[in-house]
Amino acid sequence: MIERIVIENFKSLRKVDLTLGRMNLFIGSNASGKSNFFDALRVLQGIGNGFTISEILDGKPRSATSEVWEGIRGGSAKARLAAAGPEDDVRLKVFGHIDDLRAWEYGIAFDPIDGKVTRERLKVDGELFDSTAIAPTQRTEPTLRLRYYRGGKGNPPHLNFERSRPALTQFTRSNGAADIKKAHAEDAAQVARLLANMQRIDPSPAVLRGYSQTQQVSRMGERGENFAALVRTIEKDAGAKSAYLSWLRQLRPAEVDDVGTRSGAVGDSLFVLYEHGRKEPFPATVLSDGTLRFAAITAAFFQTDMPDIMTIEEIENGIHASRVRLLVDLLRSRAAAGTTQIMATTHSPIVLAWLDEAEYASTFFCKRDEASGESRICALTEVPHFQETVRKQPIADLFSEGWLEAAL
Amino acid sequence: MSLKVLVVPEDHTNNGAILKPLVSALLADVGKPTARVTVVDRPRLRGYESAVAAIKGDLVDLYAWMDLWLFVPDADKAVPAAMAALEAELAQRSVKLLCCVAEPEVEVYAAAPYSAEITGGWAKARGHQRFKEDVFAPLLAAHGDLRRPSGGRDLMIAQAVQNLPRLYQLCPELKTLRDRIAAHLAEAGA
Repeated sequence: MIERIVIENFKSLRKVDLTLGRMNLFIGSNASGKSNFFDALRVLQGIGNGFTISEILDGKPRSATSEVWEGIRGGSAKARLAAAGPEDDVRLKVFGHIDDLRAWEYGIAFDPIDGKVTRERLKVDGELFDSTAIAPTQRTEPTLRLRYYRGGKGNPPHLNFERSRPALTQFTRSNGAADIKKAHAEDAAQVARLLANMQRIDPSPAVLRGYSQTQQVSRMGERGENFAALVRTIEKDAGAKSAYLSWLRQLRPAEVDDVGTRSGAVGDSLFVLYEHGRKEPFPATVLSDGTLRFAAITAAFFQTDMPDIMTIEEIENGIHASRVRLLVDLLRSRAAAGTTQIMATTHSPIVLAWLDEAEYASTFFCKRDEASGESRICALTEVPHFQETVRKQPIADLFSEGWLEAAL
Repeated sequence: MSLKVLVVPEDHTNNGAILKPLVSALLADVGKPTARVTVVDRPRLRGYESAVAAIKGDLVDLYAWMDLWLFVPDADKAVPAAMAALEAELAQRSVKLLCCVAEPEVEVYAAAPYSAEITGGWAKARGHQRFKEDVFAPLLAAHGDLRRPSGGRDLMIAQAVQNLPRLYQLCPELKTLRDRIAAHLAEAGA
């Protein structure tokens, strides 16, 4: 998991430094910077995938080796903080542990307009590599000179990498080259894999109502592509299916007897739900948006190929207020299982009402400054006067009545 | 019209997952299989004090019309005299409240089918100071499922209510509650 993240000069974020938990919630009004934070995560995912800076920011068509990659909102032109100067690079830094034991730290700086890396550094139990910073006067320099420490002190050898693409994955792919130790390439690969293994879940009811063309899948698409095929996969494991069903049973007022799939003419599948006392199932085509979204988000937690990091925006969309607490239970229970780090945004005060006190440290309030247009993001526990006020007033009220905005 | 029963837990998620099927089973046992059981989830209750405050406060405004209220707290703070006083106070406000103190915690009901697996025996477990952590947690790990809501407490209580006579034997306070419900329904002509 990413234990700490520092973002500088990116979109509306001048400097954000957050200590993250297993379950992280981001709250704040519209256009407060939540989605910009998620865009920063997406940049990190692109870095882990080994894309060029331009591809990460502006998108990339499907190729023989990769799917279509959607750029971030606004692309490279809007990636830099508006108030920053042309010499202020976007800087990202992330921290974590490999196998819970070995601390790692990865940092990158890049110029979004020319799409070039200006500085990069990786530490895994000490310095693994770093680069000489490319000064603004040297922006035409074609290569990034990397000091590779080979696990020891002394005068490190230099390696040259192309600047349009982060060196992290270039270093990883140099595994086998005489001058890079295999263990170091593997350490870099582990960090890259963690960053790449991020999944965004934003199920669209229109997609969920469609047939899945594949028979079984280990992972659902971002918009819910192959949702029915995923349910078909879940059905193969009786325990997983029973657990999946137990969540859906809590969602609907009418008793849910079963869920499953129906096969189409060419073996494609459609999600169906069986209600108590009715012979015919309800196919996805007639189910409500909220039911489908909840069914898909829940199914995502039963994928056989779970991501290291899952991001979900506006988790409560379409869910009835009386069932919103289920989402908190779901996220908390899956985060506690310890395999996937969750980052979710919400506008729902009810979600906050269901948080435990210990979870305030990984619940982040986002606020956009009207004058500067810059966003601040900080943990609820760091909002001035929050800790004493929340003992006297419900947190849902503090959020919905604007107290948090006033306090930060 | 089906009987409407309000259950007040000390916490909705974990205790609620046990109490809803348990109370439904008790009601079925007294001849009310179609009773509608609502477990309070708003206001969010966080422990004994918060539940008692809600019973005396907001819940009366919201749910006084319900046919029967049940409050099932853990034994660490709920003493019989306080429970009797609470029932009397609510009676004056036209609410029929029955309290049942779980010895030592609500999780004991979900643990009942697995009593033979408890080191030190059932009687000792019923007085355990850290029942949830030391006695129930290993049972939940073995018989629950962390992928389910409440970690699979629903699976364990479903097992428990399959054999109500045994549950009454292991947890006599439930038998007392069942008999009090039956007596109230008879008295109310429900």
